[in-house]
Amino acid sequence: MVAHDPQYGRHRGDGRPGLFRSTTLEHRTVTAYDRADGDHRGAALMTDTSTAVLQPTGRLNMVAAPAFKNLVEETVASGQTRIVVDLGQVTFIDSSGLGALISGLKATRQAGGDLRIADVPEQVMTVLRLTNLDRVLRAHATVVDASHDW
Amino acid sequence: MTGEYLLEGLAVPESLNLLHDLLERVGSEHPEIDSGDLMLFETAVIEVAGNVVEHGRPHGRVSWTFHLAVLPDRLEARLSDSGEEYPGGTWGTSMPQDPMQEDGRGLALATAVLDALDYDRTGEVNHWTMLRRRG
Repeated sequence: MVAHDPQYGRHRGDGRPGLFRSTTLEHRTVTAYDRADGDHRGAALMTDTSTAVLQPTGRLNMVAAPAFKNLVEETVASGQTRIVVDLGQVTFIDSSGLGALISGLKATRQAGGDLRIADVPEQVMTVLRLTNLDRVLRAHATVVDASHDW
Repeated sequence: MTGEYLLEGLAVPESLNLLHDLLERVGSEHPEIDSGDLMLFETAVIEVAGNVVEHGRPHGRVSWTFHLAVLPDRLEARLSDSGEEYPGGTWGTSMPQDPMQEDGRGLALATAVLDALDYDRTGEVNHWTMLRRRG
């Protein structure tokens, strides 16, 4: 049986927070040789290796925030300085979670990259607005939307 | 419909998830509570409790009692902790001016979503009272 790092597991199924890390972002693009019959099986898959998508799950609170902050720092240190944080699976964020996002924003920018957030749930959006952080962490509708025009 | 809830424990980070679970239970047992009200109340409770976890002394050995009342016109909670008295300096109810500051938003956020947030100390116990009127 393979031992999993408990900090980086997918959904544990017990409601506790976990982190899923996807190391590269894949853009699916349709190539110029699309066939007239609409068969797009020849679509090329372009991989942008400087971009990472991080997907925290559950509650991004004082319990989970330190691990998330470390994950961002490790990701930047590995050379992926453009980070999209997919918040679609986050059920709750507190000021510790906000602090981890701001920390990540600073870390990526200091390395010449950036951090963007996508698929932001209602509670997270409300908290971002109340703290005025929606001005520095602009919400993108989807991960794909967030991954263009860095 | 009204209801009362009680939770006792240690003021450590893991206890915050027990508070989240309790608030979820409140929501499932009181579906008549507006989900937005409950969401914002939970946000405040977690910030106030997180403040106790972070600033309560002696660190890791502060115990607390959380009492929540669902009343016809409001949600009211009282968090009582055994920690030392809080100096005025931790009472940060305004947002940091610098958006890149990583901390200092907790009690400001709680203040923003509550109709009242009060702190008082009786004997050796700190009391944090949180009130949100139901919409």
